Amino acid sequence: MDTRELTETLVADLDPLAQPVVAGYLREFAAALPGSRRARQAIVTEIADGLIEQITNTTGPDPAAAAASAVHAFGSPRNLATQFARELTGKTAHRTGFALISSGPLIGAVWLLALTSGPSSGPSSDVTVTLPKRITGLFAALPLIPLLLMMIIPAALVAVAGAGRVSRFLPVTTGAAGLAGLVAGAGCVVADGSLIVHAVMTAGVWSPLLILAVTISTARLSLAAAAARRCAQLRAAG
Amino acid sequence: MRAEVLKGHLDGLLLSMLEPAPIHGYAVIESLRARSNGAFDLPTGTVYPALHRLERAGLVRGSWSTGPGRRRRVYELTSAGRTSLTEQRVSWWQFAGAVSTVMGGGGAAAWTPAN
Repeated sequence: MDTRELTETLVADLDPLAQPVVAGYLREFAAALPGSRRARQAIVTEIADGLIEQITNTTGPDPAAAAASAVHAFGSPRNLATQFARELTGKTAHRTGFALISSGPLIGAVWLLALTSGPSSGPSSDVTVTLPKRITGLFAALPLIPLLLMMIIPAALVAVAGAGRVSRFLPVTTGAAGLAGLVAGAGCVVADGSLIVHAVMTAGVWSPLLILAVTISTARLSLAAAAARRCAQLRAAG
Repeated sequence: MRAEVLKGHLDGLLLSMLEPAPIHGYAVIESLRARSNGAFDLPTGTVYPALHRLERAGLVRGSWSTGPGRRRRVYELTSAGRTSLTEQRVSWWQFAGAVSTVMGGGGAAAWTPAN
């Protein structure tokens, strides 16, 4: 359902004289509202409910005047959209940071095993090599990864503070959380891309573990890119 | 009363409106207006984003009503919201008591929470 259809459905029960005023307001509000289609439709539906309630509670014989009074009480649709954009930025940054923090250790472990235990990994495939040495060897082969991790992990933690329990204790603005989500997501794209390129360039024999690592990283790269783009869009709108 | 005056207290006021029972956004505005005898007549557009902010912080939980008629988003306090409301009440009474003591010529004693 597109915005026009949605607004027409939402105002269908109003007096025909009030409908154009409310529908016009909702269309302008929806056009200024960033975020996913689902999130936008939910917010537009909620605001429509509030407008209809306000019109219903307005006494007077003129439905168009009641509608005009209601939209006036809600203020500029662009200002209202900006306020909601801030809330959506915080929530999106939180989800992005949480997803990266929770998926990071697992994906890191798969890559570590894939690049240090496979048949093409040379001396490091020796089972007697300790885990810290494996990690050091991997970071030496891919020096960009530890640098990216030093950027991604703090950024993801700040992004998590965009919403939820942490947001009540850490004074992180939604704009800062959005920026952190953008940095963490973009850093993740570069990290996953580097690991995939490294695997393609150096792997002689593709072990099942390496195929798994590349598959997971490809999926995460796509999701991180989408999340980073969304954080950037919401932050710009808020 | 001007909206700016309420700015620092908006969260506590909204949380207290949701304390008795879950209600939708417009009912929060109406309830606030009625319980303040019309003194707190907030611009409608400020309350909806504020409710979303409280939801983002985990102090309220929003859900869509499933009954007949149009869909409505209903808000209820979470346990963190109840705790926050209690803390804000204590803070407010301490502040109000102190201001009354200073400005009211000693007419009001500072409030202390009952145990």
